[in-house]
Amino acid sequence: MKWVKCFDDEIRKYGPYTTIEAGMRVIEVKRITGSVNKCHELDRRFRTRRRRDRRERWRRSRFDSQSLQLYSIPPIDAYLLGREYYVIDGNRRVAAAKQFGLEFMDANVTGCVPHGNREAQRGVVSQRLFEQQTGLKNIRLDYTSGYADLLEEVRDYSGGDNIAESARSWYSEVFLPRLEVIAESELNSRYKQAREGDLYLTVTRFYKELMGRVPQDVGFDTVISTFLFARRLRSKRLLRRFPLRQVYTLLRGSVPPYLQQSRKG
Amino acid sequence: MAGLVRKFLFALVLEDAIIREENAYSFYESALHKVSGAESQQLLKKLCAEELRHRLKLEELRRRGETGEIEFSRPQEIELLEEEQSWPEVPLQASSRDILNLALVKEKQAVRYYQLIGGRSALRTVRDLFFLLAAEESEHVHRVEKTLAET
Repeated sequence: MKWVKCFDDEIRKYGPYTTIEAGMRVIEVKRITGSVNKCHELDRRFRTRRRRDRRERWRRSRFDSQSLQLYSIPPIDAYLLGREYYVIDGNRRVAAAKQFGLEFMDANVTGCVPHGNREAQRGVVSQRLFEQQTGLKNIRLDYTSGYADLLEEVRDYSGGDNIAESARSWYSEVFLPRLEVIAESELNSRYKQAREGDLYLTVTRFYKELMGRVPQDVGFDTVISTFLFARRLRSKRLLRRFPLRQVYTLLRGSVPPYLQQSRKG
Repeated sequence: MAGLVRKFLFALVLEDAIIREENAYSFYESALHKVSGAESQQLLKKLCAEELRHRLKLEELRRRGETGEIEFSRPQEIELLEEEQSWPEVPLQASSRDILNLALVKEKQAVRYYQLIGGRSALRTVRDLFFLLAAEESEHVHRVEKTLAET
């Protein structure tokens, strides 16, 4: 039998830790992998294993029927440790979310940051700062140091105007359309495990380092294609199978009469 | 038929120009680790960025489907420029001066190349882009010459 992960067992590996309130946010259900209090009672899909507990089964079936009637699932309380969430309160809601194949659900999240992990601490602080200043709470990055870069980008975009208002416009007009381009791009198919937000930062950091900013006068698909070249992740390009000279030599003998005339001329 | 052929040749010329910019970028990128002196390094980094910017512009033109045609009235010139396409490997023992001299030769070739295909392009936006690239490559020539004179 495979059980959910135990928060106590996991946090023990890291030693002392600090908790930081991250507030209400939308989280990915697949990243909810553990429980704080009931880890020895729940399987990987958060279903209870105590089959004899009639009361529990009654409550579950009642909740399931409510959910089936399209009641929204109330937020759970969860710890965030590394990239995974551990349920403090709401194991049955998670079981229902997993059963119905929900991709996201609301959660009141508390981040756990081990004292020894300075990088994680910096990441949490920069994520907090980004969220406080921009009001954008649902940008997910695995490499949390990237929030500082995003904040800088939003500040540039705002050009000194109200940063929270500009952030919404940046999110819908710049960030989301670019993530969509990344999702369709070869970059995404090469790095399937990486989050699109992290890929976005990898690309933008490269251009900022080399050129001072991401080129604005070309489409983001072109930006990605050139990034792939510069990082030696070269794509197949059909036209390169036809070197100009050979094609020209082939054509010269037969097709374009104006070329033949000019040769004679 | 002739129009189709010319459009196909245009696509090839565009791809050829992209290859040139890629070669130029790769040359400067590998040279960047071999030159000494802050000024030369700064110059090479700028050239790296500019060659990549050229590649971006050409790639954008290719992706946006701006259809152009190229008049190949003097095919021997295209052949001549085709021979000049590849950039040399940066020699292992090359000095900063050697590298800049190599770059100077290739940048001058790039100016001629873009002027030639710019002059043969029928569509105005395409012609303007190639002339702009020629002007920027010409600027590279001046910068490399200036750095060579100062070192």
